[in-house]
Amino acid sequence: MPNISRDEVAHLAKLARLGVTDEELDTFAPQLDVILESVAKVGEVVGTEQDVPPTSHAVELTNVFREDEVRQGLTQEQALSGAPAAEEGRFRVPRILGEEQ
Amino acid sequence: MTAIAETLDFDEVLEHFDPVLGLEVHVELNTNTKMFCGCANVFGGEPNTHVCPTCLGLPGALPVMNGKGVESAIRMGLALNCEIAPWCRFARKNYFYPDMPKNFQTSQYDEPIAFDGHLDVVLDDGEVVRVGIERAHMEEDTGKSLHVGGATGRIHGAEHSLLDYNRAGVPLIEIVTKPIEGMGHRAPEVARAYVTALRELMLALGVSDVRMDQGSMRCDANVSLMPKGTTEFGTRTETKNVNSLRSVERAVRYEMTRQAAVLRAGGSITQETRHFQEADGTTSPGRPKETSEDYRYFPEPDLVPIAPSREWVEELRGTLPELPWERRKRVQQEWGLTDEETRDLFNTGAADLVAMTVDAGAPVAEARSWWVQYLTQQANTRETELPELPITPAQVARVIALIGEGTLTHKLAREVVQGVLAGEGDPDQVIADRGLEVVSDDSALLAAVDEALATQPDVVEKIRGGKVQAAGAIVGAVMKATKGQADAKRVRELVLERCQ
Amino acid sequence: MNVIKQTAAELAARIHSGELSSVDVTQAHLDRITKVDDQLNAFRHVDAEGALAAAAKVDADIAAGNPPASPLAGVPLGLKDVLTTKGVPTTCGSKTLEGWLPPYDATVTRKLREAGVPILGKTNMDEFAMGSSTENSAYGPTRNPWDTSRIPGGSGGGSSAALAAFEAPLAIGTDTGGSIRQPGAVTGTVGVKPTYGGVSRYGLVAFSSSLDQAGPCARTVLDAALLHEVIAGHDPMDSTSINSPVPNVVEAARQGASGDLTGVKVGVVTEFSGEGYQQGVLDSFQAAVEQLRALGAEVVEISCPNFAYALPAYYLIAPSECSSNLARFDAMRYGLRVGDDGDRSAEEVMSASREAGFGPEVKRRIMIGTYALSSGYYDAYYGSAQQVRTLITRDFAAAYSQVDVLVSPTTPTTAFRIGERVDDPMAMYLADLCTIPANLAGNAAMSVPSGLAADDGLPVGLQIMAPALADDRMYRVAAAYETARDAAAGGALINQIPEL
Repeated sequence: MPNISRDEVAHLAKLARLGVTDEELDTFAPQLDVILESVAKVGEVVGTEQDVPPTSHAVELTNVFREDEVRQGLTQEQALSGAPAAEEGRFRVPRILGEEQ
Repeated sequence: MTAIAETLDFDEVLEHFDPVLGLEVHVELNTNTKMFCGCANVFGGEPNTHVCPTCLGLPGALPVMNGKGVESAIRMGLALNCEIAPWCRFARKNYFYPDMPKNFQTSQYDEPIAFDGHLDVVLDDGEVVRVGIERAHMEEDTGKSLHVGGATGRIHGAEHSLLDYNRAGVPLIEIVTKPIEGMGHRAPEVARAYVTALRELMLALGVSDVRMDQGSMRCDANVSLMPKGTTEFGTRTETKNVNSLRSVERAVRYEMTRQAAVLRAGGSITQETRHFQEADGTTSPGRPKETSEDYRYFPEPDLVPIAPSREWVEELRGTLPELPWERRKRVQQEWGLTDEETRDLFNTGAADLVAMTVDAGAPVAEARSWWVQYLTQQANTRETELPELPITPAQVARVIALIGEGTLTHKLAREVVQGVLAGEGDPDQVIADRGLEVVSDDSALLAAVDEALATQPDVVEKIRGGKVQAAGAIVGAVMKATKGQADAKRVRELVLERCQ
Repeated sequence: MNVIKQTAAELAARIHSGELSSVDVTQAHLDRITKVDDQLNAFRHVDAEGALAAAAKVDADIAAGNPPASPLAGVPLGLKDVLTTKGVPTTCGSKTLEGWLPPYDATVTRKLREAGVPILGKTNMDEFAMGSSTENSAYGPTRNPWDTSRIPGGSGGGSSAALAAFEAPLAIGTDTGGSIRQPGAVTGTVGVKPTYGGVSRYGLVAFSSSLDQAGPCARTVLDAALLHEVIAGHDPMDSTSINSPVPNVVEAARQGASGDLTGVKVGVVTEFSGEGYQQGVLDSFQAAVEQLRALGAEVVEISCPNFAYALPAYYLIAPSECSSNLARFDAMRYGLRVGDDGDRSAEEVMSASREAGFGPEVKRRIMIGTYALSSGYYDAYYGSAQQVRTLITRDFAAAYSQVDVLVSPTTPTTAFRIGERVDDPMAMYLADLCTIPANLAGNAAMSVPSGLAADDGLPVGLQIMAPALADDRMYRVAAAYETARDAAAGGALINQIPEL
């Protein structure tokens, strides 16, 4: 069913913000194709069974809440300690092209 | 895209089109902590000082729901007459943006906590419009970016950006209306009135500061037009950055006139995000998106479902305060007010103060008159809000009582109030210090009456001849002579006695 | 007596009695690492200073007559490099986190510190725990101490190799689809995946949140149980953490080692045999089943038909969650940033950094996951996989209504050669065939050495699975089996490992 093209791989890479080289596209396209074809098997079994709700979690917990109490967090120095670049107590990032959502 | 911003005359828009609105309002909750971590939820502060591994999206950190946030969302849903989901979840909305530490927003998607409700909105002329609520769901706020270089902090043309994540993870409720149709020329007003009503509701619930200027309440307005006589919705635009109640009305009105101009010229509307420009009241398009977004929603595996029990929901329903529109109705009935009087009472923000003044023993009519008229004027003059005036309901009630027992005339009473507002103390203190008590000693008054009668014998003749209303001239003279400290009613009685 | 060859339980007893110092024991292991790790690359980072300081504190405590902080106080350990350690490098085997010093400890790390367990360093792993061979580490593959031309399993190959090479008596792994058990099996060590939610995930850098589970790795069942009790328990920082008492696994292990298995019903999963299974593995498994029967267990065959769909379901769920979990590695707040030349945009820098920072397997899985969650594909892929999860859970429930534990080979083959499967992702994925169902259902499972395969002389693992929250049950069976097997074979399997 999948038959994933080079263009589709390029589109996925873009969605996932992954730079990929032409060479990688050549390698990934057939590999993803094989993997997706193989995993598409999940559709078979489900199609034949009635009344199968999805399980997103193995544990059946609900309503796990925290008290609304302030907890000590990080200092500004700790927060910025791993930053590739920082300025005026903030994380410095390259210019942003897209709009806020 | 047309180079010149063209708009159609508003009345002309309505000749040809019916507007359809959809309003999305984001409200930041005023919980102590963020939605998924224990960091303080406060406005401002030194950058990146209210952050932790969770809200910074550090590798390995996990979210835990703030129970108070869920509780506020349920109360909000109940107040909006919504159904409360017996079971719902958070999902991840995946997209990359530097203000979002995890590059996904933890938000509710197809399982909102509250859905299918309504809010009754009162327009300026008293007409009530029911706005349908599609859903109210929980999500988290993003960090804030500061754009450096280029023009005035705008994102476009900036050289780089600086990020502060203090706001990241602050709980938000997004309230989405059903399409609002059939409002015609009132559409912009309905939009404003809806956001106003929502704001009042949040205040009554105490769940948010709803400060539009600080971004704790934000409105996105979806507007489309459909040609008169058709029933299919037109292409809509979403206008963001609408940061005041007045702007909501202006933005909707502008989009109606802009879209109409495009459509009348034979063009078509581009489905896009637009930004409201506060300065000139127009909207401008955002950057076009390269590809349509695919948010790849899926249930958030780091959180477990929320399943509010019926008991919990009913318990929360019991904590709802009297809601603004219910209160309006009750107050109008109890106090026997006209629609107009009710509107003035609530629009001036005097309702609470009047009620407290009544509780302190004052008659409703007097309490209302003082707050809605004289004190509202005083607040306006001082450019402050009514509740901020330095006078208490108890003090106003005391002034009213003193008028009732004849100790103060209305004129004197206003002087006493001025004294209180000037910080001279309680009404009785002001009266004592300024010597403002009404002259109620009849002998003192009689002397003044006799003096006035003596100087105006012609008036005395008229009164004796049956023209009782001529007594006004004598009363006026007496009041003048006593510098207004006499009880005019008593003076009149004395004048009439003397002329018999 | 060679200190490094002793079990954790023996070392703890001798340290707590004052016979040995923790500093000496820790130093002996550090020396061993210095001596042999060049051949193995089991450790990513060695923290001699931190480990010795923690050891010295334990020694001081004991010298002062204080009771040990835990039954394992003073016994050193290797920590998989996917759990955060405050101020100590945590790379997850990825270039993107090279040089990152977390500002916080994972809950597992904190519990180890509080228990007085010196952390020798961080063990190598497949990048972000994606792999079955540790060949996907950006820092070079780890080698199997049984045969250094072979893989030590994965993703936790660093932890398993460190145990087998006597570089550490204890280690921590994480198991998303078998990353603790499969390395355990191919290195002749014990690896336990506790019930999902049994051990906190806070600070465990997420691969697939609904499947990831940290657990103990050791050379004996009792040592694993002792470590299990140190790291398990409810954690309010992890919403998916189970709030109930930790099963008494140490007691169960002791009971198993000293008794038989009369009254225990063991189910052999019929689906896990046949084509694709190495004969030597099947023979070893058969012998293990006979051993269980000899111990008094009642053995029956159990069919779990939907287990055939576990592998495809896993390779949809795990990549889907990983595509979202790994979005945060965008070079904005931490981690490798490339291409920031003042001209490139944030978007371009993100893409370039992620391209440079992630290896091919991580990229493949991110793209598979992105695809599976895309609109239009979600139902067919992610949605169906979640339904398969339900079916597998039902298979387990049906099985556990008939038997106490299920058994199977841990892996279809023994350790394969380095490089043998790197270019064939599907072949690599088959290594997890038998281990994945327990992750999908959130059940407990472990691998215990069952001897050497007759055909290639390499270690084989017996997988024992138990229902959620019944971890103690599998420990009892494992300990009984280990004792009987070792007695029959004339000693522990690990003693047969060739000298490095």
